[in-house]
Amino acid sequence: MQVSDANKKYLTHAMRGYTIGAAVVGGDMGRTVGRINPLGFSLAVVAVVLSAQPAVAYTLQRNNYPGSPVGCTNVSPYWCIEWPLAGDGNSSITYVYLHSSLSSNNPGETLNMKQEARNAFARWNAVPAREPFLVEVTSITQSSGDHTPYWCPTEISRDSIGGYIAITTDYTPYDILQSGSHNTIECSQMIVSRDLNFDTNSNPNDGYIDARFTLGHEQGHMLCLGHTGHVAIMYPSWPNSVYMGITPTSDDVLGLQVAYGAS
Amino acid sequence: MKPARQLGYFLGIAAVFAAVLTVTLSLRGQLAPRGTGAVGTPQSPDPGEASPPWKVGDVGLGCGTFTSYGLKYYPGLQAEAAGSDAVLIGKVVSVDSGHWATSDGSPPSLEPGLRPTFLQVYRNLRISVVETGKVRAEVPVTVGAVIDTRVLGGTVGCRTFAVAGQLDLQPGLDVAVFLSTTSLGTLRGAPFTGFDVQDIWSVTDGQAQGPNGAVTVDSIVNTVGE
Repeated sequence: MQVSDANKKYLTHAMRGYTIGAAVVGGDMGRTVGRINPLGFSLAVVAVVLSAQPAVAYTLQRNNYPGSPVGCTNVSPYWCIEWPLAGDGNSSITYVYLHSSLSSNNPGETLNMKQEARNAFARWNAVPAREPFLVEVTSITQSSGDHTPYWCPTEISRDSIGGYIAITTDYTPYDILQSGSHNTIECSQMIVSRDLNFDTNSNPNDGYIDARFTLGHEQGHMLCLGHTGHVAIMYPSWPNSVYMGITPTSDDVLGLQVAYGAS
Repeated sequence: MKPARQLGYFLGIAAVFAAVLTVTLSLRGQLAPRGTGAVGTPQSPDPGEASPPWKVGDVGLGCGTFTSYGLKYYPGLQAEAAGSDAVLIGKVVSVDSGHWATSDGSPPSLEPGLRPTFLQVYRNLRISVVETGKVRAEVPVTVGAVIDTRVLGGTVGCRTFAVAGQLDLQPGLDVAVFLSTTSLGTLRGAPFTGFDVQDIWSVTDGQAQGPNGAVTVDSIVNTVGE
């Protein structure tokens, strides 16, 4: 898919904004980004002086390694561009469902959670970013051992998770981060609450949570997007979100395009 | 100029060029992004950063920090209060590092394939009660008391489990707290007679920072939720 002219303009703006974020957070990344876009960096310095509010709307997760701050936002993606490489040469994320029947835990539901997850993945795949990201498989070989790449599945499951609708956790082997290897996979584990009832309706007053929003949000994390307070599927709470749609917004799209490049 | 001297000048100039080129390439190697991609292509962490040994241990994880990103269910202050046994404004007295939420403190047994998250770890959190909101009659929460609670997430051994956006709980921090006398689902394996923290927000200048923005302390205290 092609990026529209409007989106290209927006993307340019976003990249400057992103540069601001990087410059604020760390000098090293500022220098790195500055090498790529010196003009953007110069503008960033000016903008930081003029405004304490970063121009970045979306946020990108910084993957985790010892000592990293928790929940940092507006940080360079660092590894996000690399981690979707699944080692299969197709620059895709392979994912599996840990449980064969995702929707069986909650008898009050009639929806097919697994199919809804596929639909949500398809909406992300439609984003005009450089790579098709998500490929469903039935199993991923997992190996383990000292100082060896730790292969593990990107998976979806259901469990009791307190006041959360769903969570996604990244598991980044530290030695992979250290080596900077491109041909490795990072694990990402999504858990959807089994204490809450889901449907496919965005109505916040029907007693059900919209599975489409939930799954789309969590999959955004799998793609390395962080939370944002802007109109986006990455808004961190539901209901009463500023956006309760199911399609990634321009804010979400820009985050992906900065992380992976626009197509 | 004699050929030998010319050769000397040439070699000297070449040496200077080589030195400049070497320094330039060295700097580029440090600063330039690796691999291909758009703005922000990754670079390595500081190679001097301490590197814990990579061991696939008893919970199938190496050492490190494992951060979850959660989609919060927050239907509003009224509903939050309704789901709580006590709502209070207080000050953090102490917080410890973390424990597995099991009866003997050993790593949890999870379903095959699942790895632990912040939901399987808790910290003991002591809070001094400054002001009370909704308090169920049978719940011993009074102004001036110090109460024992548990809050999700923490560090066990060389592994830290956290959730993005969680408060950095330090003694002296002013907080608004929503408490439950019933253990949260994933903490039920570790018996406890105190309160589990359902939610905890920072408080500054009479304003608490909730999931959807600032909320006044007065509105929290005055919200009964029933």
